[in-house]
Amino acid sequence: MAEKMSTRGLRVSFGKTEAVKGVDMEIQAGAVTAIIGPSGCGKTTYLRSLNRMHDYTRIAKVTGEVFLGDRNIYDENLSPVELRTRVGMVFQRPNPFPTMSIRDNITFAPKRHGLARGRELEEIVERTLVQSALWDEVKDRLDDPATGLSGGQQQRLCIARALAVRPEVLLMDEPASALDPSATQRIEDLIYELKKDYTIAIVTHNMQQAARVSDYTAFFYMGNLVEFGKTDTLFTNPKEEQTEAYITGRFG
Amino acid sequence: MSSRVEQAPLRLRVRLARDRLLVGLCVVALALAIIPLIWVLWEVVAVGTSHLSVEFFTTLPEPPTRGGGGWAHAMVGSAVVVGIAVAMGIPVGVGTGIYMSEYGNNPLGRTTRFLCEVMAGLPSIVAGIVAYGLIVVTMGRFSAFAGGVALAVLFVPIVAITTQEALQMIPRHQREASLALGVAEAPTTLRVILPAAMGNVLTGIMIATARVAGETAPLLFTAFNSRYWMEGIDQPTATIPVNIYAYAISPFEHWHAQAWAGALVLVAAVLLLNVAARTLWARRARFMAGG
Repeated sequence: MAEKMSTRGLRVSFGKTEAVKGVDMEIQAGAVTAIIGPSGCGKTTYLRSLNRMHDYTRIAKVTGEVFLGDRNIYDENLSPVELRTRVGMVFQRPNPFPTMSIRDNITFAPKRHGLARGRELEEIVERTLVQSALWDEVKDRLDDPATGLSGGQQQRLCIARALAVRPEVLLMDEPASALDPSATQRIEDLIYELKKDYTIAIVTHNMQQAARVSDYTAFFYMGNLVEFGKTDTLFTNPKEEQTEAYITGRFG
Repeated sequence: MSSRVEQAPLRLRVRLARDRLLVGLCVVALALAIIPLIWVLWEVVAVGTSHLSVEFFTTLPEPPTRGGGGWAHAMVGSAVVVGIAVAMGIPVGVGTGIYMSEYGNNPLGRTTRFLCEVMAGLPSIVAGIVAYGLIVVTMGRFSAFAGGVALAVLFVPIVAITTQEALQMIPRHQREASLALGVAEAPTTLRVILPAAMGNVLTGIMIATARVAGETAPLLFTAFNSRYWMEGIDQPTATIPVNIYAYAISPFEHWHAQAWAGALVLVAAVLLLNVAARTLWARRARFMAGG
């Protein structure tokens, strides 16, 4: 399988603290890559460097290379704005735009990018809500405020919103950690469906979740990539002792 | 063992007494703050109401010897002068607030914030002097416009500071939601952050409007005063606060009464403006809270 994104010697530091300490890793196209590890291991920091979300943290410093296809995304000539239309993100806590309706949450970015207008926007709304398995629940109240939805519905709306700009890669930062088990189940089913069309990287502190949804798993510890491999192999036959200790619950 | 059991209720009683004492002190402080306020309001309403009449809203002043007459010209004048200040002040104040909040993490931003704080504490008569020097001297006469500029000088820093603080209260994840969709910083600020903060931005604008609407000193030598209808924004005009001042220090009983009525109109206008803005905003706030 081809790699969609890769990092070479990626380091991220906040002031004097180095959170990611030189990571070489590939994210395979059309697959789900899970990033696991204990709190503070740098997994979220790593994920956020893949679409330059650290740009707005003044003390954050990113060095090394991050490739999308064959382009280094930290190159001067690739704007972060363009990058983020190709590499979308879903956050830990559902964050729909509170001033907007369900419909406007989805059409906001496509409108800004001039991707669509009129009927095409309506089609985007329906397509993305169907993809995120929310359509049946909200099709009769698209003009209601997004904040009136439940937490799980809001998170699926955020996924629909991210899909509306047709990204190639979807980064998910613990997308189900603020949700109850049944909402979590729906998000996991959704990830399984979405990987047919998208490359997905998901950070999770839930190992069962990583085992259920991912094709590849990366185990991070203290800012380093300890082990990377096929999910089946990593969970059943880890090469590194640290990995085994973590997945068997001896620490973390 | 037994002694501890007996002591505990005593310690608890002391703690509860201290707790009640503190609450009591807060209530006393509240009373000290609120009683003068209610008293002033009551006085204005009670005395002002008894001197209000339809004539007061519709006619021009009569000479003090004649009695009767109204402040219609001053009400129009105040509306125009405050309107000029608000129209000029909102774009500058909100714009400054946006800069300080979104792009101001640098020496220019910090200096601007410091200057706004200094300006917000500026004695209002100084704002009048600024407008006098800039506008009145240049134009060669007092004018409603000069009054508007003087009030805008007081209006802008309040709005800038409240706007900055309103924007900074919006959680970071709202901004990230938009940026992660590939929306650039400026549209993120204008279409996501500013709308989410609009309730507090409007509150800041209301507070600033109420503050400048009651200002007298900056208008004394800018808008000056007049006994006739305003003939244009380049002409001097009467305003309610300056009229209150002029009438209150006059020797005529009947003018004193009109000063009370004017004060009531001013307080009521500010209150109405406030209620109107809040009512308008409440609809949107209900939308954001989930319909």
